[in-house]
Amino acid sequence: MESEEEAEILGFPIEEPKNMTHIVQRPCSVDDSFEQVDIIPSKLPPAGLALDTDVLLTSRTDPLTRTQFQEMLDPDGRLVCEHQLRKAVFLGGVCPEIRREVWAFLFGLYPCSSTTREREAILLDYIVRYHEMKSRWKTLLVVNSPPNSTPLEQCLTARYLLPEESSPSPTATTTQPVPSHLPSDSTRSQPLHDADVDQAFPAENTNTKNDGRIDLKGLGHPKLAQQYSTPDMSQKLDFMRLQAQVQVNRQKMDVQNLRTNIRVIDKDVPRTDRDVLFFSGRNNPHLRELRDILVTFAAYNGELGYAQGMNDILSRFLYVMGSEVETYWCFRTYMEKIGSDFMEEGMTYKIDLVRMLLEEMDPALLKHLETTDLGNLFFCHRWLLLGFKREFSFEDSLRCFEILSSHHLELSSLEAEKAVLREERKEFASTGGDTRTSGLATQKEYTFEVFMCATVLTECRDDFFACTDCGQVFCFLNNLTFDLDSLLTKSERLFFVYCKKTVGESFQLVDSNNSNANNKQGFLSYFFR
Amino acid sequence: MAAGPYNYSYIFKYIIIGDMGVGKSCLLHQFTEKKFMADCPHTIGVEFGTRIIEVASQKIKLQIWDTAGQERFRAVTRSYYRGAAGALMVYDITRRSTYNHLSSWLTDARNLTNPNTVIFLIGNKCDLDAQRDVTYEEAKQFAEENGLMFLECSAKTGENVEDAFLDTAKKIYQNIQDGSLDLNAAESGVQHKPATPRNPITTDQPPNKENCSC
Repeated sequence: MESEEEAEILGFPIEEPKNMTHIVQRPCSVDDSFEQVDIIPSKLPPAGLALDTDVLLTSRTDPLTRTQFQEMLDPDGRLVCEHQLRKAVFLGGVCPEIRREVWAFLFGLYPCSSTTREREAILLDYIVRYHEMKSRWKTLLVVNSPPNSTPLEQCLTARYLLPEESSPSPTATTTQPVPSHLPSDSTRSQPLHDADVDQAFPAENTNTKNDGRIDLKGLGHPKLAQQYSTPDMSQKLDFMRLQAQVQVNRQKMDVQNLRTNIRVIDKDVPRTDRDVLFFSGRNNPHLRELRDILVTFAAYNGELGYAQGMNDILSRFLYVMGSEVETYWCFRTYMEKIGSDFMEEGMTYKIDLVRMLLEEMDPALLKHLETTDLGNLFFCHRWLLLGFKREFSFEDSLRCFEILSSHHLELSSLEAEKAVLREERKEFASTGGDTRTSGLATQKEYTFEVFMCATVLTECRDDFFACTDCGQVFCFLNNLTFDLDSLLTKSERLFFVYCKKTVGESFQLVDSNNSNANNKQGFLSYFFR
Repeated sequence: MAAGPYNYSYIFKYIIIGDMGVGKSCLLHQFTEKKFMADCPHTIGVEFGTRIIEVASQKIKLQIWDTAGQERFRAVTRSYYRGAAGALMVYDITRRSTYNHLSSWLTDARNLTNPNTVIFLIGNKCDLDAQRDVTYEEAKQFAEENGLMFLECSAKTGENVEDAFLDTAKKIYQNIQDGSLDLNAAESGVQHKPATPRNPITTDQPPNKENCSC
């Protein structure tokens, strides 16, 4: 029986509950878990924040188009105004057909100030370095195989064997995701075992010709391939390879540790976004690319290694960037920024930021969650780790990812400063007196995603108050789905309300400082009289 | 949903623990949806599922917390162990390493739950007998030595999955009946909800009820 039919039979509210205009709840799996209300509290504690406060919101726009994007570039291909791009991405996301080019700037693959020609040179450097990094771990795995392993086993560790029987490559490599509501039974999913791998697998394309040269054409860069086909240029390429080899060989690699990471990676790759057409079907070549990138990353980032969730981050990069090399470097740049999210300490700190923000914005709700044993807000873990990926459809998750990565609206950004200034002026106009911002108590570490988490919580506060135990809260949370645009608008509102609140508080602070200062002045004037 | 009477008398909290990739989420899915979920994405943090079952003519609602197997965020997953009445500890019969880690999972479960928590050992993927890496006998012996209940199951075919969840519930119910599990104790993992007759038209029937009766 389909769950929607069940929902109707069981009388679940299919329409949106009235108190959550935009956040839609879908029914729990098979039972009446919605029967979660023990006692409806007659009067809820006040929210402690006025979300209806008058704040200036920028209206959301349509996704950035190619024409608009072209206008941001100068004739040599430099991105003239990065701020403008980030703002446009924040307000509407990006049209799918230019996503690849925009992400290259957004995620720092290329400097905004680079010209189209310079980017070609950078790309070549990326290709050569990635190629050498990948070759090295592949070689080391074979060289350091356990003494009793057969040559076949040695090769198997280094080479990724697609976890499905050999069969013709899928013809469907279109970039349209399969709607998530389609049953996944159609794509088979036998858990894959090492024994399966003995079968003949299509020879792996290592993108290396027999003489060890890099096959630029095979890597999907025919233009570069043509450019470097002359003897002179090909000599230059050889020299670059040599340089890269020296550089790569200097880095330490813990092969034992890498093997452990590979075992985990090989478990996770075959279950990464298989409901998306790009990754679906047997023998999908993109799985091997995912695997090689993850292993390469783990090999040269020993401490961080591989952690579950990285595959979810990487799949979005691969889907958008297409090329394995560019995906690797995008992923690496991204991980440099958010790597601590994949360490327990970093993640628990981030969750704690949500808790701190909630305490400022809605202490009564936090208190209630504490009584249901969820005061640590650990349930935000998945939202924060994957940028709400699993809460949205794949297409929306891409948009959400780019919007969060635009970093347009952060407390450290220009927008926050403008908002604070605006509020200060208003406060000044209404109360008079001097403005001082030295005591402004903004917590700059509250990133926009922290505001998004807090928004989800405050939006559902009535439902939370209706839950009296941890299980009810979890069942409720587990079944939440969000409308991306409305969640973004509401988060933006919360962001500006927070800015306003801190200004209000700083004025109180200034007031009390003033009275202190007056006292001090009195004291000093007495002293120096 | 309106406040009102329940169509079950007890709530039991379960946790599912074990190494990554042993099939914890698939077991849960098979139990709650009676379907094998192919290519199920790995769990981040914890997932949640429920189903109402019947033990000795008592309707019992199982609240099942399916935890992530990965080592790295153990602090997050451990925070959900508290107050579990049943713990399903899963390994993969085709991967010995997952069996070798059981003692560490068991220590965790014993330290973080109460002494009455029923721990049920599940050897998953028994449909892949050809690739078996852990014999039934040695796992059975491990279970006996540690006072665990034990079954080999297959989340793929559904074999024994129902039994593992239901036998755990029966054992918990038995502990309530003979008084060894004190319902009033904090963190017993069991809530008693005196059942009140409901209007028959609105009574929510768990689907596939015939499979739920014991």
